[in-house]
Amino acid sequence: MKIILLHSVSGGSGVTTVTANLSAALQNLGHRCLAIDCAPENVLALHFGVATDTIAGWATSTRASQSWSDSGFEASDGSRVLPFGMLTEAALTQLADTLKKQPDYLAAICQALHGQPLDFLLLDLASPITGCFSNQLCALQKIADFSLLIARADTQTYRLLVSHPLYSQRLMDSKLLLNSVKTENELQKDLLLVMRHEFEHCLAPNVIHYDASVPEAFAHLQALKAYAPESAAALDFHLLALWCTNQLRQATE
Amino acid sequence: MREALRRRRGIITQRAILIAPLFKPWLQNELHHQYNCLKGAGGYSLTGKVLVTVWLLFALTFLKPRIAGIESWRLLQYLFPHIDLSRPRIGDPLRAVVQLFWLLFIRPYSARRSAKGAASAIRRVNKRSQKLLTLSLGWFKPLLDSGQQANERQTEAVVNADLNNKFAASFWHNMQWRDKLLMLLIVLLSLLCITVPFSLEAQAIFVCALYLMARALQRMPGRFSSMLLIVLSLVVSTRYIWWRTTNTLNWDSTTGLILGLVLLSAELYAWLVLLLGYFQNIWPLQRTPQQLPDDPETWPTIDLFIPTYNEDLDVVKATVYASLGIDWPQHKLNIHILDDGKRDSFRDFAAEVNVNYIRRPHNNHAKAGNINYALTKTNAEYVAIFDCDHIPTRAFFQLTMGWLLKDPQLALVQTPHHFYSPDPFERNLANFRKIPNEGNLFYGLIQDGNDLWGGTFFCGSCAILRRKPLEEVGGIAVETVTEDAHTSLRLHRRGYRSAYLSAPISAGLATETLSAHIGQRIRWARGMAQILRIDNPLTGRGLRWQQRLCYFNAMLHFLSGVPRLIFLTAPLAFLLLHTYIIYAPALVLLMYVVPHMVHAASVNSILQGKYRYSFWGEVYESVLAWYVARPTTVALFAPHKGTFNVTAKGGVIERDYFDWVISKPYITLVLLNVAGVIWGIVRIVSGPSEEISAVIINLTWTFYNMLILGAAAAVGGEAKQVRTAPRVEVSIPVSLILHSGHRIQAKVRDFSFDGLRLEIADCQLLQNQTELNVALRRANEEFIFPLNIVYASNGVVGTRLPPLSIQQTIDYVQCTFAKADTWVNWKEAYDEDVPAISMGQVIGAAGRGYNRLLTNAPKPIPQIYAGVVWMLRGLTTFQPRSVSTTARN
Repeated sequence: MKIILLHSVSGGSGVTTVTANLSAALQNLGHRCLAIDCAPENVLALHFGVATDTIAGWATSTRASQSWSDSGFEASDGSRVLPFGMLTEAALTQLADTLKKQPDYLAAICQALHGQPLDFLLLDLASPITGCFSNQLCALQKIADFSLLIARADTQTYRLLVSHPLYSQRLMDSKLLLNSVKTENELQKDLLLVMRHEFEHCLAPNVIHYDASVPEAFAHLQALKAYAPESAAALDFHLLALWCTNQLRQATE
Repeated sequence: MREALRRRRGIITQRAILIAPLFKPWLQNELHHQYNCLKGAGGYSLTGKVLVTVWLLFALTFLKPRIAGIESWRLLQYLFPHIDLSRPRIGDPLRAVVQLFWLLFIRPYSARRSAKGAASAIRRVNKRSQKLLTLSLGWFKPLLDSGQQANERQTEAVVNADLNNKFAASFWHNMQWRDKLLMLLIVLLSLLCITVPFSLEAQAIFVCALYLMARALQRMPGRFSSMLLIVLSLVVSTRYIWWRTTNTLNWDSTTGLILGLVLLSAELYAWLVLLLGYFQNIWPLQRTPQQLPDDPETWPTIDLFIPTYNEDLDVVKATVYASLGIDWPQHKLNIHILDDGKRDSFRDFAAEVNVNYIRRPHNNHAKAGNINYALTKTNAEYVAIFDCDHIPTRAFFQLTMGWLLKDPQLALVQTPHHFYSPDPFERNLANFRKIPNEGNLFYGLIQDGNDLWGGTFFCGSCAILRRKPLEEVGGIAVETVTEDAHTSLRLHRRGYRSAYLSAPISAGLATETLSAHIGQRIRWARGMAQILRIDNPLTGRGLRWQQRLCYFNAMLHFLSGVPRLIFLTAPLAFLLLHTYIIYAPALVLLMYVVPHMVHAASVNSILQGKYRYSFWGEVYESVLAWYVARPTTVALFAPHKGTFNVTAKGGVIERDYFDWVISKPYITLVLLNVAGVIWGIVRIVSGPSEEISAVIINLTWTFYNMLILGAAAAVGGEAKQVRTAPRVEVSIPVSLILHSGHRIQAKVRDFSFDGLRLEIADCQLLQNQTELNVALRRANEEFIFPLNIVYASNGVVGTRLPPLSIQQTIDYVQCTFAKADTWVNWKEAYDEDVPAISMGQVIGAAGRGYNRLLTNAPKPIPQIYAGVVWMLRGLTTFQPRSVSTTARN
């Protein structure tokens, strides 16, 4: 089982969307996937067609001192998701306190899944580094086989990546994936060229282009591949999945 | 009225069998069903109704329900598939009788089965004999391998630039006395092989032995075995020529002798060309690009010349845009438009895109003079020359400059002229990108072969020259009309080297019309003949013997007009004039000529396989023969006559038409051959019996000539060409960006300067928009271009480019025509040559040619032809049809 960590440079980069679509694309290639939502917004499950009022998730189970293993769901294509669960603010603060004492709690969940019939474990750490479970990250990074840093091709991201010490360190052990790129936009196109030049060693070879089909597929509660098989984004995710499997195979060899 | 009312109510009476009411309801239903099933495409006629009714009743009463697994009422349909019982025609009884006769008496004893058996037996024997041969030659293999290795070492030495001189001189000097002795022995032996007269049986055995050896060698891969095949072919052909010269001239009759000598000289010419061709193509060098230094600052400066005279601005624009995007440091590349047409629009365009514009005060010496004038106005170290319609790809200098930097004695790097539009041959024969065209052989093989001998010559465009040597020889040569070859000849005489890189890294427009194409070839032929006279490569200083031969063969090639005409008419001398121009018994002649032809054809098929299919060379030559015959002969005797004519490109042919003026000579030849055939048949029927074998041989030759002439005539029928911007078929994945924010995967099917044709999964995806953006990739970068949708149906979207800005146009040309890999796979797309298939293609082309000739002929002929065709079509309907062995549904 390979563990892929997905996190972002700044909020709204589309980590959850990428996680869901990458999981679907990997599943489509014949790999068995489980995606774990690590963000209190609990959005990932929606991508897998879980009903909006479902409150179950690993966080809720933890709160209720139950086993988190009962709160997983399986989508129609066979890919599985472990939602975060719905928590009130008070409960969330409490959970944060609990987790602060156990910095390898999430890592333990991952470890516990090792015996399962799974090929890929995708961890959606939607919130940026400074988010509420940032203390878990360290342990997670230790067990992850591969980590994807998702960013948009904009000036803010570029500045953070180039000059902020927090991110330059992050870039050391992750690959950078640009999401929602509009090549028809002159600024984004130029930034893309610059980033290609400067982050040559860590940039994923293909980007995810901006494509209206992605939010539409979500709105229709369908996988992108099923909703718009001819969309460029579907191809992008397919290529990304291929690249990921290839990277992980190389890493093990 | 009542009928209409019923129909409106939805009650439609089935037109059904008339006498059905006589039967019980279930039987009625069954009969109705059968009756409907037998209804043909045209419905029932009156006789049909009666016939079918009678048949159905007959089948019902007298036949078993199923016969041989078929429902018996279907039996007629099954046994007589070409007869429609529901609507019988007048000829049907006869058809039925023929079919019945065939079914009863011929089919059961059909020869096909035994023929099939025989064929497979032959195949088996063939296979086994080949295996045996290969096995018996197994001991020969180490020798072959060592030869192969020696050869490879040799080429490596040649490729490693410092080579050429050494290689030339070393051949004799490096040989030890033992080798020299061996060489002498070989020469003696081969002389023996060639000159010893054999009896008929001995010759037969000799020929068979060589043929079997060749068959075995053909199965062995590698160049060394093809070299041995060449040797075999040379022995056979030279023996044939020797025999022809010494044994077959009719010294008793004057006309016979004269005509015989004429044919013999044509054959000698063909033999010489064959010999030199083998020499030239024995080992194509296939040079690979040389790495450039890492630091672009050390790269040299280049002047890029685009000479133009009367071409459209649009044609020139494309080349300039492509040149502007070429991968070379901007300050080290100067682009110059050399305008001999003195047009202000060109000057304004040059200013607009910021390239240099050179206009000279006079027009002396056409293109050569134009370039020479520009040489005085510029000063970069290297000069690249592109005809104004040749679009360089961006990698052009990256791939070519390496060699020039590595070897200071290298004065010229030539690359192939690749054409992205069909030439008149390809267009009129409709075989664009299916059969290698005329130029493929030269740029695919011959220039590469020349490269081994250091004899690659300049072709006027798509090449880089070093300025210093070029100025040393006085610039581009102006004495002949093929200034390019002459210039490189002079460079070679000064001891400079040339190189050929057989990568299609530029692309141009082919000539538009057949007359223009022929005009261009006439110019080349005349120019080559001129060089042969003015500056003969066989004599004079500075050249190595290999280079002399390469140049000589190139020039000889263009003299093919007269010999080709002789070959096309030679059998007529016997058939019509009753002269024995080959004075030998038919069987002996066959024993000599057939091996000569078979060996030559199979070796050429192996050497030229991917670049020229068997028999097509003769077609190309035959088209040009008449036209180049006169100018070359004139140029040989008076080399200073004649003017330069510009090749017109980028035109439109409004409608299909038959170019009678151009085709006149072929038609004359065809008529002569037809007369020969008729007279030959008359002679078979009524002539003396001892002549029959000779008549048959000559008739076969005539038929072959007619085939070639038919294909040549097919070229004369000009096909319509409406589009001014030729489209280039490709398959490039792109994405389309809609205004709604959707991005769709698509494929470019073809592109032109006007727009793209795209392929998408479903036209619904376009959401009825009329505009969209397309993202084309170049290397790692995406370029977005707006497109107007012209039509969209069945997953194909036709689009047109709106007016673009200059930068956008440069980008567009860069993403399409000038993309480094656009033309690379064209060559690979051609299959290997299979002589039989190639023959089929020639026969097909000849058929089309005669069809076109007859339908376009003056008044009564097309009508007669149409009548004959109609009658023949009618006759074929009487032909019995095969009946499938399994029952149909």
